[in-house]
Amino acid sequence: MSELQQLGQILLQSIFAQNLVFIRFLALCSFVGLTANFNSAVGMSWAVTFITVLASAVSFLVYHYLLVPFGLEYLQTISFILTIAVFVQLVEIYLKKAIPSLHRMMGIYLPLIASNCMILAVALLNITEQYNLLEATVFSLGASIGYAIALIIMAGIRERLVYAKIPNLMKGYPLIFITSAFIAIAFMGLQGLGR
Amino acid sequence: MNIGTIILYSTLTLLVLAGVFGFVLGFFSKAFKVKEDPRLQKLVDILPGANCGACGLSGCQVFAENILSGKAQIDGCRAGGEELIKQISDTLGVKAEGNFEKRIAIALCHGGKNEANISCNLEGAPTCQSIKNLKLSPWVCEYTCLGKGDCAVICPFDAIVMNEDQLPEIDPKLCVGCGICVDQCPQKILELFPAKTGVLCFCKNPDKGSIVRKACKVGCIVCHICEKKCPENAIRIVNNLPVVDTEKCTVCGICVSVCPTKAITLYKAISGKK
Repeated sequence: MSELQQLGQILLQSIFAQNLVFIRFLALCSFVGLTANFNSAVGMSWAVTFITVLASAVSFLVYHYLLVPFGLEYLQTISFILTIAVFVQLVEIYLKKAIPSLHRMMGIYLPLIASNCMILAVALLNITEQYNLLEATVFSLGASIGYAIALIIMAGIRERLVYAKIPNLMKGYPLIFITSAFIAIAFMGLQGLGR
Repeated sequence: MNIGTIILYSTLTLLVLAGVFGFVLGFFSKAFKVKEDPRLQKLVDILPGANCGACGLSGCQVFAENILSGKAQIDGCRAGGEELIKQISDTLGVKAEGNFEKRIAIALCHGGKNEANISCNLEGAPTCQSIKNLKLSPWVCEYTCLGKGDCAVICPFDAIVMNEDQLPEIDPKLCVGCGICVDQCPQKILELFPAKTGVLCFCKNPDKGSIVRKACKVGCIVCHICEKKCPENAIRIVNNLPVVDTEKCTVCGICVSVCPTKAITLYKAISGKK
C-alpha cells in the first residue's frame, strides 16, 4: 500500500469509522452544550479543528523529543494536558492581536477547548497508534472534521426540533440523547469505510 | 533506576516543561498585548446582551465598539431605553442627547379563536409561516392573526405569550420595541407604537364591511361612525380602515363607545385584560 493510500485510509477512518463523537463517545459535553445554535456549532467546529491539528503536532514533538529520550513515556498524559492548555492560551493571545475578527468569531470557544477531552484523546491516540508526524497530523485533521460533522448534524436537527411538537416527557435532554443515539447507529453503518 | 531517581527525573522534566511554557506564555502575552479600552467591557456589561439587532448592528459587542469609536449614537439601543442611555452617558462622561420615546409592539388583531370564523381546521400546523406557505388560511379573514405564535418563539425578551384565545399577548413592561416580531409575523399584524398609545383600530382587514362581517365579530366594518363622532377629527378612514392621528387624539373614548364591533379599543384596557 502506497503512502498516499495509507494517509487516505487514516483520514476516512478518523472521520467516519472511528468518529470521535459517535463511535468513541468523546467530547460529549461540548457536543450537547454547543449544538443548540447552528452558528455556535460551526464556530466551535472551526476552533476545534484549528487547535486539534496544531496541538496534536506540538504534543507529538513533546513526546518524541522530550519524553522518549529520557525514558519518561509514563508522563505523557500530564505533559499533554500542560501542552494543550498552554497552546490554547498562546493561540488566543496571538489571535487577539493578529486576527481580531477571527478571535471574535471563536474567542469564546477557546477557553472551552482547553478542557475538551477530544484534543487530549487525539494526542494520546497518535502515540498509541504509533503514527509518524504526517500521519498524526492527518489523523487529527480527520478526527476534527468528524467532530465538526457530528456537531453540524446535531445542530441542524436541534434547530428543527425547536418547532416540533414534542411530548413534555421527552423535551430537552432525553430527546437529544435519543437523537444522538440514532445518529450513532447510522455511523455504525460506516464501519467498513477506509478498510 | 531506583524510585528516587525516577521521582527526581519526572519532577525535573515537568518543572522544565512548565517553566519553558510559562516563559513562552509570559513573553507572548507581553509581545502581543492588545490595548483595549477599559470602557468597552463596562459598556458591554450594561448593554442588554440579547444581541437583538434593533440598533442595526450585529450585536451588543459591536454596538459598544461603535459607540466608543463614535460611529453609533448612544441612544441607538432600542432595547435598553432611557435608563440605558443614562447609564452609558455616566460611563462615558458625555451628556445624553436625543429624546428617547419607548416603543412597544402591539398586535393589531383581536380575531382570536372565539371571535373569528374558521374556514378549515389546521390545528396541526406548527408555525404561522407554515400556514402562510400553504396559501390556505384556517380563518375566513385573510388578514387575521394565524395564532401559532411565531412571534412568541422569536421574542428575545420573552415578552410575548399566546393566550387561550390564540392571540399574542405582549407584556408592555417586558417589550422593548426591538421589532424582531414585527419582521417575523407573516401577516404583518404586529406593529411598533409609542408606549403611551391610546386608541387603536385592532383590525387589519381592508375589505368592505359586508365581507368583514362574515369573517369576524370584532373586525372593522367601515361604518364611518368613529370618523363622524370624533370631536377632534383625529380619525380618518384610509383604505377601509380607521387611522388615528395620535397628535390630535385626546383619548376621550367616544370612538371606543360608539364602535359597533369594538374594533377600535383603548390599548391600555387591553393590556389589563387577562
